[in-house]
Amino acid sequence: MNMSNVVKRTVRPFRALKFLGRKPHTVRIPHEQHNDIEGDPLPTERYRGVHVNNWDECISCGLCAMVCPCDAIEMVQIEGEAKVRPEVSYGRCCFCGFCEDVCPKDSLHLTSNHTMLDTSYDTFVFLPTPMLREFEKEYRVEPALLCRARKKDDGKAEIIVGDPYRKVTE
Amino acid sequence: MMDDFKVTEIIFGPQHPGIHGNFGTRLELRGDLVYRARMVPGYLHRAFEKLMEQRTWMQNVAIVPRICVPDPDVNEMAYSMAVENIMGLEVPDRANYIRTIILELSRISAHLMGLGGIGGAIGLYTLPMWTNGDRDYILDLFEELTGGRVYHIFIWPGGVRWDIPDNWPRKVNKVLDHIEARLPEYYSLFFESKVTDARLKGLARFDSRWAVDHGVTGPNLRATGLEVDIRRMEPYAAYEDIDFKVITRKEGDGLARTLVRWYEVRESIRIIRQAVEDMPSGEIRAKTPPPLAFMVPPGDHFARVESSKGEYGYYVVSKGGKFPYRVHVRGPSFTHGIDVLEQILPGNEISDVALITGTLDVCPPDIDR
Repeated sequence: MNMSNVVKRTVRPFRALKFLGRKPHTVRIPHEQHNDIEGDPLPTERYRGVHVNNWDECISCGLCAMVCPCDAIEMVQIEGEAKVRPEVSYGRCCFCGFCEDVCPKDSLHLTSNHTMLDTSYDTFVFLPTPMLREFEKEYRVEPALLCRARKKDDGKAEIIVGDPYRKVTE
Repeated sequence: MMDDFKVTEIIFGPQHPGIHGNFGTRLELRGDLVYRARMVPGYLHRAFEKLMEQRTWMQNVAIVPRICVPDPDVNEMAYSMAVENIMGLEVPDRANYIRTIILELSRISAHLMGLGGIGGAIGLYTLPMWTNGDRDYILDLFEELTGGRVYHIFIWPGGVRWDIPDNWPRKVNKVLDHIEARLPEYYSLFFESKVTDARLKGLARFDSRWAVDHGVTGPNLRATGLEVDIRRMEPYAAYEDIDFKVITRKEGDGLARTLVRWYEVRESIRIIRQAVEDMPSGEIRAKTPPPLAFMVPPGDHFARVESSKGEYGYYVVSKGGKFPYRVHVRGPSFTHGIDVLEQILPGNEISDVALITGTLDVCPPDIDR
């Protein structure tokens, strides 16, 4: 290897320094919207997130519970309801979306909502209702429906809903 | 001379930033040279092969991508190919082209991640930042097409799950343009560096004869000069209609293996461009029974595909009925991560252990399954 080659191979990698002045690649979720290469917002409608279930359409056939590869869906009887409804355990769910595909009435859907944070395990076993769809709409407009736990002075945890970082620094 | 040193035994991984995933290496060192290496897998064993015998044929599609996390789509492809062959299903052309695009996007994302891992192992942390940042654009594409960023669960027996969205091909081309423009930057940062020469040239060299004897496949085998590629030898999906080069190097060392991956990214970009251009219209799924009544007639088939790590094989046996009788997975990292590493690590310095693992592109979820 001659001298000029040695100098070249020593200097070349430092060309990466020109990226120091560029905009960072990182997206500060939830403060910033995550976009794809053309600037369209993500996640899109195809995203497989938290379930919603339209109870007016649901015929309680139980196919979703049968097709679930993780055994995450259980049909449960609710007080005041004549029919059984699917209950999803998110500790088990693998978000494959087979329950949505198999639903004969298209009542069960996987929404693009992917933010679920809580300190209690029980929160993650719930009955998908149409209400969550409203929740999702809200989430889309205001991406600050993120929950976060904060330890209080007496040692107990407190859940903060809303913009977590701003509240903590107050 | 060597015997004058005290033998030190250290456990390298799974709790080590240099190891590539959840597996460990038990190293016996004399000085800073590795004297003996024993791999310690098993931290990620999920018994998928046995689990698949108790899940229906369609439910297994949700399980198989978890066998290789960085490159999940080859698993869905190989499993689907085996099931289709037993059932005698004819996959529509459009589905084959969509499958090709997905498989190649997945290969690019896995190679970018692998390149980043090699950069991290020599202390060049700029490269993993860059490659993982650019890989994210591919994950965005996957998210828009399949609904999942990492586990796509999109290729299934009979075709693909959904058709592509309207503006998706345009976005694919934009992402490919971006990655193609970035590749020279990676080259000048990594391959034109004296440090890379010093660390990778001549590292863990093996020849093609040794490689074939030890079951080495994929880019690691092509780096020794053999033109072995399942996409060329037994074309699946739409590879038969697509013009592509099989990348080979002669040296067989760490630098050659890394360069093969770098060139394969460029070749994959060419393949995807052709597939997007020539995409036929039509059906995306063959006529299959509904998921809960999915029955496969008795028979068996061994399907193999070329992944970013090497050759993936699925041996599926059906005795008729709702469940597979047996599904056996042949993963490339099992040979690269256990046998090859145990043979090749002795004699190398301890600082090269993570680097050799990186250049072989070992994927621990595939070792354990």
